[in-house]
Amino acid sequence: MTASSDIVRVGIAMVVTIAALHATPAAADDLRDRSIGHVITAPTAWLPPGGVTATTGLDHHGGTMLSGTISIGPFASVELGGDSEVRICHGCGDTRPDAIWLGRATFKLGASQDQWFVGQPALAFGVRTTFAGKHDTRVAEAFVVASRDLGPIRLHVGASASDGRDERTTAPRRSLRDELRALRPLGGFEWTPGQYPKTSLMGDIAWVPLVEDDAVSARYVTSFAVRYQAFAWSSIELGMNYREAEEIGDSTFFVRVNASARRAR
Amino acid sequence: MKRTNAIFLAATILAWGLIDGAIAQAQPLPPEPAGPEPKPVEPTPTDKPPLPPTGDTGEPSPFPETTRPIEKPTDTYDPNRPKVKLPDHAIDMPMVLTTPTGWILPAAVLYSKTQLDTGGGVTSDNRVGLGDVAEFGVATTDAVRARPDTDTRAERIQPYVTASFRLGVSEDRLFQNQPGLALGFRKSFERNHDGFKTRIAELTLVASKHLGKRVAIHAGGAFWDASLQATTGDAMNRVEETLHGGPDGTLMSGDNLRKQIRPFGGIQVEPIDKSLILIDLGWAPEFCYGDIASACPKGRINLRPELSWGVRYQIADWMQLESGVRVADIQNANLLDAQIFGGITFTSWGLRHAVDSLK
Repeated sequence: MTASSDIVRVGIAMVVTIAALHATPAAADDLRDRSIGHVITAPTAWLPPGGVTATTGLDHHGGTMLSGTISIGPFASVELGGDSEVRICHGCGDTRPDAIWLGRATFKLGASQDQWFVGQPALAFGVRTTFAGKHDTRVAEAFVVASRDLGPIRLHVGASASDGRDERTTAPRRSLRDELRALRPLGGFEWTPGQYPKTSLMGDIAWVPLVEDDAVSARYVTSFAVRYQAFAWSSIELGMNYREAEEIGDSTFFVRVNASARRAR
Repeated sequence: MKRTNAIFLAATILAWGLIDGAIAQAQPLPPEPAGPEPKPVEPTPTDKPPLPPTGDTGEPSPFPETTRPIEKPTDTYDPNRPKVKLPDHAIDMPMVLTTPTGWILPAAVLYSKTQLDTGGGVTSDNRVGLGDVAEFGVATTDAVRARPDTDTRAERIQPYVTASFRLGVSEDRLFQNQPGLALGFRKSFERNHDGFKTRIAELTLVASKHLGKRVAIHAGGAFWDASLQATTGDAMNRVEETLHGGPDGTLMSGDNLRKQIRPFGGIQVEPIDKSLILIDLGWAPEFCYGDIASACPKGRINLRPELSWGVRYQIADWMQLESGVRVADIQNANLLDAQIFGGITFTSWGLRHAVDSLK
């Protein structure tokens, strides 16, 4: 199965799902938290409306993630944290690449929905990079994403370019042209049925680098999850993600908790 | 280096003289910060018209108006005279993100900016405004980088301590629509790193102009110099190499001048009150420690372009948060070189008030 056919299938599934569910009425009171900057793996164009949002998670392979996001005015946000999304493979052959925990920072600059004209989606341009560490493994990603609230459905569409290397990588450094050629689509959806205003079903596709001896390649990750908005300030997510070139049995199941504290107005 | 320093000094003195003369000719008004109008000062007894002398009966004075005593001028040294406290207000910042603006700090206003980034860089920039026409500052920068050869990733040299002096005139001071102008000189202290002694110096001339209430642009030019000298090895190795000359001590030539002069600039937009989006393009020196023939064919001292974008959010009149992305060496753009930074800036009118209270 090639990457492109996988993407096409996931895309068709998303479109069909969205088309079928679009007519579902939304709850009168929207309980969904728009301060969370990610669908599952893919970024959203939402910027936190003020205050701090934190996410922590754990998967069944023992991987952990932790992040905190602070808004810098109405146009930007900075996220600091770390996760074990990136894989490294130096002579690993047929065995699974190793997950490596990296400190990450994201800067996102954008405009909120309907800010410039009616019907305008939320737009964001972001850069995500690793903190300097003693392992000298560096990963960076740039992305643009548009998000739109369509009642019970929220759609996220964008593109990203990523790069990474460590001290053992012998591949030559990429130029800007190479980075632009490596631009790949990303996207996701959230569906909140009217009958269950606190529950959202989510799916997304995003790209993470696989760092190898002589090359750095981007591998897609598809994820599905359920988010339950337990409190106005906190939600819990349960889901799974599947990575390109991994066995389906190697899919990762995870649980995450989001919490947000907003500035009193 | 000495020759360049002499040119810097001459240019600074000349510019100082020109600006000083221009200001004197323009008979500048005393600095009036924009912002809410100061509270009206209670008139002193001498401000009021003298009451006509009255008799015991309380009748009006028989003296005609013209014979009333002449008003005495206000005694500015009167200790009981009420003091006017000018209100604090937000100031135009002396930096975009990494490049200077044409705006000078108001007199006796203190400025302090501390910044961290994902590459482990820590910088601090502290300044004080001098008489509304100049400012002095001491800073540490992490923009100067070094590499052993062209194939190895450049690493920052930090802390790199610099001192700066800028002088200029604020917008619309000399004539209407005049941009803010600033002539600045920044020079580093000597820095020893990996067996090499390095120094940098930068002369900048920059103009900044508000275009309406919410947009401002900055454009300028920089004249750079830098030196590199090994601290180990034989006498041949220890020859100082500079940006304006060569390892053999050759003098300035057209090629070297082109290597030293660089344009820079930026733009800032304030779509919503107190939130600015900023973009700028500047330059930073990079040293190559290897042999010029084999390891550093492009030269051992080079200037690299640096692109930054980010936001500045004014939390209070005296505190601002700043965050963004900086890509060192944008010429060889590589995502992995991107650094996300966050910083906090404090400004204080405290010293200004203290000075005003002494007047």
